[in-house]
Amino acid sequence: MSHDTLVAIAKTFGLFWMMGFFIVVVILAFRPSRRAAYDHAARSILPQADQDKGP
Amino acid sequence: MIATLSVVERQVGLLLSVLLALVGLVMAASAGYGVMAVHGSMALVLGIALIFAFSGSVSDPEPPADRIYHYYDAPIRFGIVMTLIWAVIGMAVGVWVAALLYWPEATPAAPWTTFGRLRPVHTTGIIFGFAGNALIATSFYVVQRSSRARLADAVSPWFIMIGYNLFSVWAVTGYLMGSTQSKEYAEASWYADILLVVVWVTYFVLYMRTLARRNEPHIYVANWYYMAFILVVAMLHIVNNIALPVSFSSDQSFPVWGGVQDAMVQWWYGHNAVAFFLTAGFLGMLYYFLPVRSGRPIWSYRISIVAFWGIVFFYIWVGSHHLHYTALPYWVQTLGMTFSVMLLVPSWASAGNAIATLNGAWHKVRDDATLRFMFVAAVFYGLSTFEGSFLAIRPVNSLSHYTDWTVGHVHSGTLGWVAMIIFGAIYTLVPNLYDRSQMAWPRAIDWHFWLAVSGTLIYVVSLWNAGITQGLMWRTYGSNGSLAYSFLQSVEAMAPYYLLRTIGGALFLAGAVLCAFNCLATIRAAPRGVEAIDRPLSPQPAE
Repeated sequence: MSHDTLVAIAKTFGLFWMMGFFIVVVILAFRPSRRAAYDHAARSILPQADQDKGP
Repeated sequence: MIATLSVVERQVGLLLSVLLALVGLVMAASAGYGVMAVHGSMALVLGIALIFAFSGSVSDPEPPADRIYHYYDAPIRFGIVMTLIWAVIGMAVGVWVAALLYWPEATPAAPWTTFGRLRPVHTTGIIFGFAGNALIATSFYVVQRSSRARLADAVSPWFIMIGYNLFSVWAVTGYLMGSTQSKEYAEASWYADILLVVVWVTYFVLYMRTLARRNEPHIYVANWYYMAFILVVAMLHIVNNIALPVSFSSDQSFPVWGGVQDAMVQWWYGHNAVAFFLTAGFLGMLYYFLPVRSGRPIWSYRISIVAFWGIVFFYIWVGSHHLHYTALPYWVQTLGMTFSVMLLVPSWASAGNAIATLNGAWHKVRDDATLRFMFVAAVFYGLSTFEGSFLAIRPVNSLSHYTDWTVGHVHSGTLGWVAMIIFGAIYTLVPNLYDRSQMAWPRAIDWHFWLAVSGTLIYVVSLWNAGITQGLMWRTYGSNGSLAYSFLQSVEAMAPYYLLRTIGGALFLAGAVLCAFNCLATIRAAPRGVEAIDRPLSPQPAE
């Protein structure tokens, strides 16, 4: 594989692969419908008494 | 160990012990003499000892039937003890070799005491012995508590613990006898590497099986980091250690990679050992123990997820920054440099997330030395990742590379971040695992904290000075265009810094010894047959 081929792949597929993955992760992590689930997950490791308190 | 196993599990253990003894015998007999024979004999002796232990108790009564309703903590206790033993060994050797740099004439006239053999004993003892045992032990704790599930079986945790420590002992004793693959952080011989692959695959399978039995709907983020650690370390270890033994009765081998490709594979491994051994697993530790100790949920669970994928995606590319200005193609160096700089974003997201979690609980940080260890760990994680991104920039690297600045940077990460979070986790775990409300000597934790912080600062600051001084002396030209300083002058200029780093390391070692004795006193105060005091396990999976 030549350097030019690699650069071409990096500038086309690589860009969409990295940016696409980043955007997908951000959407999955920050979509509002998951708020309750993540809040629950964040508190799930704490003792019951601490789970009931606010942040 | 054996009392917690069922009769069938003891029989499996006996079988595995026989296998270990046989492998040891074959290794020792085929090698005849030399390093491999010594290592074979070690495995043989360990196998025979385990055979005696198992065969004497195979017909003992079954453990209590309700054991499946409790977490399986015996391997964790073993792992914590091994962590402390390796901490003292690894750090003591580190202080000794640091002292040898200041007093080189103190090297005894025996080959195994030379700097070249002792230095990998220090690095392997710390990375694999101290950090590795801590990671495995805490991962067993975290996966059980956060999943509310018992470890998937009782034999494989012991197989992992014993196999892993046998690997570490093979590695460091091999270096003392002059055996090395000459790959940094991967010096162990080919057969030790094969043992580690078997252990590591078992570890991955056990972790996945335990997660599959979880009784929480969501896999808590700490487990993701531990899984990245297990999976990627397996990949790195296998690819970097592909080697052809000179013969099957010798510890010598040749890597299949050659030239600059070998250098690239080595530093792809080397930097990702930092990334996935010394960072990802420890972020798992941070994301579990910091919220638990402070009693506060992580500030932003969502940022922890985005940072996870950022770290996984960026870190894997950065290894080539170790090879600036070498035969490696220029664009590969640039690639490594660019990803190193981008890596600062997810790294600081994690460090900031940890510190923001403590915002509002500063009184706890002030009063609780254990939590202070975790706070300092997060601060040093932020500092050393900034420094790492900075050093990876090519012109900065031209000043810092081959100097002690690099060594100072590594120690800001290992002392300030890795060791601090381990001690924070240990001081949280040990009282819990041994049914104590607190450590036996609570004030000793404060002493340990200040010894560790002052030792780290003295160490890191003196090596910053050392490294920048070296770098500048090597690039200073006189008016006639020749170098202003000889190399020897730059070595002589290091004396005060090397003395200071020895003192800093000794302070850090003193704190670790104090920690070991504190844990010993806590363990001795515990009643026998103790169960951990914490949240209940749910025996039924939540569908």
